Amino acid sequence: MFKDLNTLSKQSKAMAKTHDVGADLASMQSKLENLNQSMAVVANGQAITHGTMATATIMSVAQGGAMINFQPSCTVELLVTLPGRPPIPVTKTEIIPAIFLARAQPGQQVSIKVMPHDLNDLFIDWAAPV
Amino acid sequence: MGLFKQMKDMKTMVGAAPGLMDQANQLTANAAAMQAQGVPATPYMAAQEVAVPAEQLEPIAGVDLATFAQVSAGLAAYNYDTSKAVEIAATRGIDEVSWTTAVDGWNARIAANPAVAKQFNNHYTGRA
Repeated sequence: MFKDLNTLSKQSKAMAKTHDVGADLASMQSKLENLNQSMAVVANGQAITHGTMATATIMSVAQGGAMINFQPSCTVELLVTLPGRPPIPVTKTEIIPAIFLARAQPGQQVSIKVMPHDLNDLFIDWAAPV
Repeated sequence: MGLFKQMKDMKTMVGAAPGLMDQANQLTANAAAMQAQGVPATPYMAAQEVAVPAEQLEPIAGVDLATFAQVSAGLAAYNYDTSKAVEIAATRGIDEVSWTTAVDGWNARIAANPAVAKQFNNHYTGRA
């Protein structure tokens, strides 16, 4: 058993040489912070309950590294169109539910709720029809 | 009895660990090699550049898509205060009525055709 423990110890040291655990944890921390910041704007905002209903066109989707409950974190570039004002590009980081991934395609339109004075306070209603 | 089984399991784990580590290191190396050849580290999809029928790019009230996007982008300097759009448009010789007509018309085309939206986005972000 002591020999095995010694082997494990050697392997841990070998791993530490080629694998920066600290950097990985820092990267994870950073991703979670970014995700939380993005969600906090909507969670603490008013878009879900008081936002103006509108549509947005998806310009691009980039999958991030994080998965929450097996659902990917994605950065979505939207072109938000509100009546009576010109379209504005807005970028959101979202956890996209697996059943709505098929809708998260460039060129697709999605229903949104948005506060007109703060376009970052924007909720993508993946379930709502356009 | 449980202790001996745990010891046996640990021995099995120790025996398997080097192979797993080698495979993990090889995965990292392969991913790095693929990235070096231009494969993005994270999956990314952008709207395709699709040809837009000429009639959908006709200027509306004298405002073409590029000008519409540039005036729209100018709003960023005013924290997206829409009331400033008329002033910005005026600097390009577009009167208020024409601008209002252009906003409604281009919004309708952008909503109806993702390819128009893509071109607007390109002009807005300077990628055109």
